[in-house]
Amino acid sequence: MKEPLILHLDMNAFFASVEQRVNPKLRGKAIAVIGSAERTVVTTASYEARAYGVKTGMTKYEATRLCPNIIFVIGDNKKYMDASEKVFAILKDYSPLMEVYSIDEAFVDISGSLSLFGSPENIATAMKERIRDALGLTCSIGIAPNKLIAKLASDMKKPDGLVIVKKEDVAGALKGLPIKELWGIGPRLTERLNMLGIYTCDELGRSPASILRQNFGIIGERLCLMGQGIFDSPVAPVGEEEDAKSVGHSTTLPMDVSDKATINRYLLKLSEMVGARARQYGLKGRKVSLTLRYPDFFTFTRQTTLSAHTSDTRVIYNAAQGILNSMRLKSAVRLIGVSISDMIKGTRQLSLFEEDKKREELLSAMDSVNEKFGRATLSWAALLEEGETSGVISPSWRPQGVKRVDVA
Amino acid sequence: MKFVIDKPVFLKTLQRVQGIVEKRNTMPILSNVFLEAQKDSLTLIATDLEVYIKDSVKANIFQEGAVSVNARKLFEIIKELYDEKVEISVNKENKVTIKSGKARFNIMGLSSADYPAFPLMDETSFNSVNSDKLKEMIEKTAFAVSTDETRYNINGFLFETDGPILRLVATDGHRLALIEKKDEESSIGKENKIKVLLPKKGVAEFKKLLDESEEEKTSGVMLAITQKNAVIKKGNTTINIRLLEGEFPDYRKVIPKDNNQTVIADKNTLLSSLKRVSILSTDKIKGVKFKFIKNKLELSCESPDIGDATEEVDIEYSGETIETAFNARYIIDMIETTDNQKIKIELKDNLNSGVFRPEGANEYTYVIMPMRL
Repeated sequence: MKEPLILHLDMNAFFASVEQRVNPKLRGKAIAVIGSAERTVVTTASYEARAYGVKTGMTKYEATRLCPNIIFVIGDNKKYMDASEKVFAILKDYSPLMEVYSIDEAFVDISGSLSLFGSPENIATAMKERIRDALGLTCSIGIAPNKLIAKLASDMKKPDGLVIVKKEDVAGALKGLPIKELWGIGPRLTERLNMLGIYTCDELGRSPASILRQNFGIIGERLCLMGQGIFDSPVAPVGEEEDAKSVGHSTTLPMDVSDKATINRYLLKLSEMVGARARQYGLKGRKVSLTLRYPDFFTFTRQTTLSAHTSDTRVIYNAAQGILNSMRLKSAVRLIGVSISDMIKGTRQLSLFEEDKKREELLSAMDSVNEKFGRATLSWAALLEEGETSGVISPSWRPQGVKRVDVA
Repeated sequence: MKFVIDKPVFLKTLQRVQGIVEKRNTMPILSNVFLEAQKDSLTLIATDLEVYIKDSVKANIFQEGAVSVNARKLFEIIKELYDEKVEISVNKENKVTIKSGKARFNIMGLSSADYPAFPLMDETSFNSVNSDKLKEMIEKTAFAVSTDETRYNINGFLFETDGPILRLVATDGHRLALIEKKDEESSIGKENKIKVLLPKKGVAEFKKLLDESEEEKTSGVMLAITQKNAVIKKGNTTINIRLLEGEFPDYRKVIPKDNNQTVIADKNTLLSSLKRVSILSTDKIKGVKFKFIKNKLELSCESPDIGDATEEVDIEYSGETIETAFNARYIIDMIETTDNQKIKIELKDNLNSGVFRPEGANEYTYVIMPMRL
């Protein structure tokens, strides 16, 4: 058996670099990509802006205070998707086992590619060169025996880095490394581990699995192995990933809204986005969830189960609206999300009544027009007054498949 | 109010009545049962505002009066009592005292005036109906009623009269069950044609009442249909349900007239084969492939992750080969309520609906849309 060799690629300041590439006036300057909504935050800052301390998630006000000369650019998701697809196409030339992790990150299993392309260094250098030539963008690459360490390695040197962690060096790389640096260990888990006296990865690896199991259930053992740098999740190329468990969309509103009619309009819009995407992949869901976030960021989800699986916008909308009507809002809302889950791959059951058949045909006609001429070319009359609000691209975005979310 | 009543009688009536009580508890008073002592009987009423049930039982009344009290709690208390006699009294503050043997309970009631009134019905609008026929009609269509609450117009039964014929139709948009029964003795709908939508929950309560075997002599089952309500009476029990509003789809349009490929299958063989094969169906929806060949039906199912299953069933069939697919659940539902040993299936092709009925029983029609292969 070949030694497993996983490459992780992370584009550097991706959105900002794309903007600097297309607009030479922005090159070498501190810029930040933001959303188009009024109360947006920084999604990506260029390295020039990062030097001033500007970080993802800051408000415009905070960013300007740190870096008065900063230039704000409203994000254009189409541009990023296009660049992203080109990058991933290059990666695929080196191995068919390529898993897109997010719009600017991917894993490639290069265990079987060495005889064709030479050493891991050669592969990584070739990838970086081709991406720079074709798109003018830089990236950081990490190569290691598994995804966990590869992701860690790509993070070690930014921008334009290349770090290779050999099997025998894994333990050394993890020694003294704070656990929060490890992929999949978030602030909450970090806090809980800290309470057990576990601060670094090597401490995590040495912790008795039984204690971890007691505190964290079945993931306890996995955590222990992660601390030792052992991670056996394979690279799952698009299409071979698990079936979609849900289809959902959410949006942060331009301002807090408490008026039900306005919330309903957003619900309809989100329901149509969910319905259209589910229909595109022949999926139907039986559970409809509504997620709301109050201005204090308190976020909650309520769901309802339908009697039959659906991908019909109206049914999703009615269910979401039903949930909304069944609760008393404590304040205005800041974010609304609609999703369907408990999915089945399209039922092929035919309908008895003419009106139902017409309804299905109407939706499919609408979908094909929208696919050809762009989203919301045909839409619902209730949405006419709505201006286009372009949200931030979802972290679960994929270049193909059901997780691909088209943006206007 | 004060009365003494036999525990078994009271318990049985309470059990029936409390089934109607609103479980979601949107209005507190709807989780109560209304009790009224008058002359020599106790009347109980429960409602969720869609279905009203009224029952009366013999009791020893010492002081007339009325109150409403939590149905669930009252039922639980009465169920656990060990003495055969129960004494119930109510004071001016609507405090209900239950005494039996050495046990004593006080629970708070609500004023009887706040309880929704049982809709009054003109006695002359009642007509006797054949209880067995009505029961059979409900049994053979109920499974096809849509459970989708958003599709309010098919969330119940269509009840129609056509001269001496009573007709009940139910559908969920994929299948439709229709049954007709002649009831010459009944005069219901004879003068004015009836065409109403009966809600699912109300009909289920009708059915429960019809299922009860009455030891005492009763005057049979009486039915009244008005513009807004359907009322059924049996013995001392009256159930009043509010009709659904909306237009039931035109069922005549979906009953095929030119399905000229006829299949005769044995009920039990088909039922057990379907149950076996559908174990390996892919989805939560039990799609099974049906291939009708000369005197043979091939049932098959496959699921990419698990495996596949096939079974041959002997049938009487001399038409062309038809390959189609049906949701096995739909067919099993129908077969399980059929008394006849043979099932007749009428088909046209693989994209049009099939008609299923017990052989020789033209009063029953069950239409199922196929699934795309």
